[in-house]
Amino acid sequence: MELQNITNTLLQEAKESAKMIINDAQELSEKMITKQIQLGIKEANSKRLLMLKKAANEADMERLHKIANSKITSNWIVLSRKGEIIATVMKEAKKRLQNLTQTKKYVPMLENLIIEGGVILGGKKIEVFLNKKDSKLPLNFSKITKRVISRTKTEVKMSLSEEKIQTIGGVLLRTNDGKVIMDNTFDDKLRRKEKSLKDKISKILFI
Amino acid sequence: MSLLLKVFKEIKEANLETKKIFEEARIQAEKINREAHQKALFAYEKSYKKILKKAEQETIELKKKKEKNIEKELEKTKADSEKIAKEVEVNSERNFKKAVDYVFLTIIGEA
Repeated sequence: MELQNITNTLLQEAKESAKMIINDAQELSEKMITKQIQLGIKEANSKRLLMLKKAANEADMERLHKIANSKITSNWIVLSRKGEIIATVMKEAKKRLQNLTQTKKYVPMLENLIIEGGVILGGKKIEVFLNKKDSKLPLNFSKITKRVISRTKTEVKMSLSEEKIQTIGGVLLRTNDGKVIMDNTFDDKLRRKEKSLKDKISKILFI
Repeated sequence: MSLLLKVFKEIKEANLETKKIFEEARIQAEKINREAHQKALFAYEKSYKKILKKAEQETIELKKKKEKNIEKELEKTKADSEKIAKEVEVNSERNFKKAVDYVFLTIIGEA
């Protein structure tokens, strides 16, 4: 009977120890799973932060690129508008020059242009080129020639060319040998002074 | 003598039985441990993927939000430049005649 008790006790203790082993294994297993879940969360969060940072950086770069382009476009819009206004001023001035050619003031002005050109060319034989309309004006070539002679102190012979030029107004002079040309047309003056005129217009209008 | 043998035999049997119980417990604990490793790996992947999926969505949302802000900023820049262009136009009207006079007189002054 005592022997039976001893073996029963041994078996009972063995069963309890076995139960503890299994319980420990289960506890360890739960801890391991929890630890891995936390590890997964931690590592994924690190990656998540990197992903968000990368996305933010990319978006910032894109922003800088787009804003830079937008500013270029904006400047272009303003500059383009300024350019249009300057062109309108030039066009308006041209119109006024054209209107001037239809007034009485224009004839003496044109005569002066011819005289100035003649003096610059230094006299001798000079061909005078005008547009079709100006060719019909009552220009006093005798007076013009005398004025050029008095200023250059040389022999001068001026003749109106049959060839007509395309211009708003003004005159083109050429020595008879064709070697020297003096362009005193309004169009050429506008062309020659275009850059400085536009700079000045810009200052008058925009500063 | 036979009683002693019987006792010895029973103790030996009990000892074998306890060994068997321990061995079974060890096998089961190992099984639990093996399964735990697999479950832990699965749990890791599941939690990792869940957060990553959320992060991908957050990234998309962040980009959308930033793009929206950029669009607003671009619209403002465009509106500002149009406003400046309009101001340039209005201000230029004030001195327009002066500018035309300048060009006209410069060309005539040369005459």
